[in-house]
Amino acid sequence: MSNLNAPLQVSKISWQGRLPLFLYSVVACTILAPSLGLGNYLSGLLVQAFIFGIVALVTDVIWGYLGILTFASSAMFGIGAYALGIMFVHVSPTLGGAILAVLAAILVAGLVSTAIGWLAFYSRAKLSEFYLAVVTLGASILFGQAVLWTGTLTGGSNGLSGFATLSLSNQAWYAVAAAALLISGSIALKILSSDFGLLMRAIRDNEMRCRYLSIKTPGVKTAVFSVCNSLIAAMGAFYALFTTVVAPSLVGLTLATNVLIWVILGGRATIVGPALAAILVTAATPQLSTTMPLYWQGLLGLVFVLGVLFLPRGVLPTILSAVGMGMRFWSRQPAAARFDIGSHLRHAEGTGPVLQIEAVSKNFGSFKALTNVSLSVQRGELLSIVGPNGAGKTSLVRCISDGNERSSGLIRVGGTSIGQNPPDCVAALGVGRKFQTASVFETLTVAECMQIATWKGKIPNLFRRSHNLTLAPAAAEVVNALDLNSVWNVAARDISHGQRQALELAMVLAQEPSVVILDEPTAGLTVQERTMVGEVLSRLVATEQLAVILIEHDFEFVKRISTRVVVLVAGKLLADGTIKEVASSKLVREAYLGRSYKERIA
Amino acid sequence: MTAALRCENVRSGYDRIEVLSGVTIEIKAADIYALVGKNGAGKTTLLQTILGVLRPTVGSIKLFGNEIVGRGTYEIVSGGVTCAPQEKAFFNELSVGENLRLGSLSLGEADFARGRDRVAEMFPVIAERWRQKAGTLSGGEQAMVKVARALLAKPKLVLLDEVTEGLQPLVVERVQTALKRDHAERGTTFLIVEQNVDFVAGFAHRYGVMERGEIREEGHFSDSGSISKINEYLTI
Amino acid sequence: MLEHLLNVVTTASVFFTVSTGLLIVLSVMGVVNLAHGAFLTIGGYTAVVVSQSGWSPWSSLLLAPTAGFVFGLATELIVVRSLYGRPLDTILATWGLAMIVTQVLSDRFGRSAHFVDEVVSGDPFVVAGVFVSPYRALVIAIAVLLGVGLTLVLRWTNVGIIARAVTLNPGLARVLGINTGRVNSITFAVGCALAAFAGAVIVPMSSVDPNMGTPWVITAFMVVLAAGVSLPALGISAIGLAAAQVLVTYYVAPVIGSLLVIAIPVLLLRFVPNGIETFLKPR
Repeated sequence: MSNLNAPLQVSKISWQGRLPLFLYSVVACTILAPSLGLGNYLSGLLVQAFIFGIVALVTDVIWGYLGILTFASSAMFGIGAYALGIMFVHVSPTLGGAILAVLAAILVAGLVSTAIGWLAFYSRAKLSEFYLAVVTLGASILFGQAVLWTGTLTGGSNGLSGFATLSLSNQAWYAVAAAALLISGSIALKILSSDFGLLMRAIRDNEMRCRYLSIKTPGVKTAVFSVCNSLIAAMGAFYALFTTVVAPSLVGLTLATNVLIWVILGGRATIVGPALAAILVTAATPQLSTTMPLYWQGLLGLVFVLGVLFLPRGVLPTILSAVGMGMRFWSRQPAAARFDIGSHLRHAEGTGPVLQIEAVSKNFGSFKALTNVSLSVQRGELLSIVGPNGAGKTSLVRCISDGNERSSGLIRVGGTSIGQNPPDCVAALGVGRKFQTASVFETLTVAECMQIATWKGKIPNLFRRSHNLTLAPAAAEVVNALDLNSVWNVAARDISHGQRQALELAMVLAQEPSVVILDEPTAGLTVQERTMVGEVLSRLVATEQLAVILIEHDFEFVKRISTRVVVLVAGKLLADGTIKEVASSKLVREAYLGRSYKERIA
Repeated sequence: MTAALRCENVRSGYDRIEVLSGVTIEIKAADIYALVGKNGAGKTTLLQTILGVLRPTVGSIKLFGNEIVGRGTYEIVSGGVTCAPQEKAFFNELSVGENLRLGSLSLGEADFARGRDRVAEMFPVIAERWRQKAGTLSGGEQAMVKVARALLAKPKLVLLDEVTEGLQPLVVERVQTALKRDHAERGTTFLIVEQNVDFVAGFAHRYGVMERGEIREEGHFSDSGSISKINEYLTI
Repeated sequence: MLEHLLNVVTTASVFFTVSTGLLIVLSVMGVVNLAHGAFLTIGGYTAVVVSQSGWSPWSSLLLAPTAGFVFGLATELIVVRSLYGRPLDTILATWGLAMIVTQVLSDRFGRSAHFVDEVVSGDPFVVAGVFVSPYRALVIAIAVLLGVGLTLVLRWTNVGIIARAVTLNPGLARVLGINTGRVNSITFAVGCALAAFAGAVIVPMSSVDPNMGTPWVITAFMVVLAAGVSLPALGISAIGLAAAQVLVTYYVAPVIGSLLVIAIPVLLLRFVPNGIETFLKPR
């Protein structure tokens, strides 16, 4: 077994651990700055810049961090700006009115975001990757048109302007804006270093794996999306409060695009980068558009294109790494250095088969992938499903783990029907699925992957990072037997293939499922690794009374560890019995093994 | 005489799994070479690597003396290679005729017509089902169309991936006859991946047994005991 | 009533013409070309140049697609090709390109609107009691010809078969010896040419300004999204959305009409992810 000790990247000076220092210096600067005699113009410009900085960093959470490409930032900003403008122009230009407007904006933005989330994240069918980008793009345009057409309320194409606002000195506005920036930035960074931040990274890395670990990802994404957009709306209101100008040009596609440009420039998923980019660009724009008014938009577009093409990490990170500095501003504390082994927890106890498949069929149009398959699996069984390529083995696995896959028939886990439920619900019922190509979280360490699995779908802490890790005995056994200890703090993409297979198996077992489905677990493993996996599986089935379903081509492996074999050919179950019975069946030989084979059953 | 295909110590795979761990194979022009082995041995991966779909991490592949590692699939295929893939071998929505045309775009209309007549003679089903959508054909008919498409453009090297899987004996016989005939008429080189040893034993010259990404054993079918040696590797 | 029908048909024709380029690129290459609107604008300005140079307006219908083809080819080779496998980044990069094009055009032609003469002028003729201007008739005729022409090319020519093959299974196409790289370049260029062509067709309807493409790319996007990967479906989608926009704009309010053009595809796709073409496939 290869013992890969990938050297951790320590050659770059990183900001890890220097976060407090960085923050304090920023705080100092912002407090001192006004006394340095920033003119009214500059401080006023910086207030706007800080506000956009917050919008940028929040959009980075949505897009850079969680992976949701959104064109809706400007629409949300506009909801806030117009809420405040309408309140101040038509109702009451007081502090009370401002608070009301902000609350209204947050509510509306939250509702709209939830609706968008319902459209994009909850669909059972496979939506195209552009779908959400399209919806948010449409929303931006609609909002722009809507404000033009509700003339009296929103001031139409002229917008609302010149209304009386709260009387605060320029210093006070500056202080408020700077404080808001610092607070949002700190909260964002804190959350990202917490367990919840870990969850977000996992969702971005491999959403499907999360769902198969019982995590309800549509809900998480919608929640984060809504909260972030509500914050952006609040910023819009603040902006309107300060500038007393609310124009349609502010909230259309231009701002939406600019926000994305700031994130690209500043570096996706760095939080500080986009904020910095937004501040710098906003502060410089008046100057730049006077010196080169004709070219400003085009230049921005050029930067956009070049940034996407050549600097996927962003301009700022590239520059920083060129001078040897890293750009992670939140602490990447290593997860639990070791783990405890928990006591035996059981899923739905009781007698009866742990998995029942009744007359399940799956059709793709006219193609019948599975026809009337019925199967019953008990605890303590190690069942192998064999058959030629294209026989329907993976289709069967999909039907078991995802309630929406089958065309007809019933599937019960521990007596409970899986209905049409999505993978996260089925996983919560006790079905663990290990994919053919090891599906783990590439950028997360082994320890972090295991930690996520132990949550069993429960949403983790928003602010704290847990350092204790308790693994179920089955998972601990795999970790120990296959030596994952030696790569505990190594990123999953840097460990060997065999270790990745082991990691995924350990993650699945950490959920304490009652039935585990393994899709070709020995693919690409060395002989020793194969033996280890076989031993571990046999042991787990015997001691933990687990039910294991194995899809395998390696007949040696199947012969060695299976208690029962089932043969699937062209979507139909051909044989079901011990390996001796199955191999000696004439039907099986003709359909699968071929007449030229001479079977020798040891 | 240059070998039609020469792979030297080819290592290749996908999703960071190494499937081929150093394959060395040489197929002379007009050879019929059978590559046998169990599921998962890497046979299809080898074909994909030769076609340029997968890029080898190590090793060289020479096609008629030209190094093809790093070349695009389109370039490699235009060097005179055709293939019949095991899965997803058709554009199901397109007709049999269109599928055949797409397999021989290098030919002008006249040459295509001649090629079409030639393969229609070997497989009458082609003429019968010319306009039918490829996805509606039965397994046996699809196999025949696959092979016909591979032979139509008079290629120099033909790669076949388990074309007889799941076929009735009659169809298997027909395919075998067509391959033999093509070889006799044109001296085509064949690399045939199969699990059905009976099928290849009938007309292939040489065999190679593949296991876990390597060629374990090679030989001639004319040698005595070759078939039992092969079966030893293939038993469960 | 007939007036409405005529409006719907005209609008549907425009929707269809504007969307075909986007559909072709999306189906063959699987990418969304957000620079589509910019190419439409290029077509519009070609018409302006033709008009300013005093050439026959008909020549714009030839020059516009040529310009679109050339610039589209350059775009594919320089930008899109490097982003193979990164669909969201392609959206962003083409959007950035649109911004650059808009800038260049406004530098060259100024930000104010230009007007272009109609390609065919003359008195409207009467059909079943309704006045039809020759220009409108031309727009409808062009859409029909385009639809029929493209369908014929796709079904009966080798080029068309290759395009369909690459749409269905690019991996298999490659293995059969099709140069998918070249197919992609030409497809993209053709898509841009069609966008420019549409631009030249519609300019007499409205004015030409550097930002004219933006609302059109969104509309085209929605029509294509609702349709799925199929020309007949595109026709149905164009008619349906045009009907919604025209009728609702007349009876309710323009903003609701535009809203529907966006809302209908979004909702449709939520439940029928492959669009209208799902209903056209035989079971």
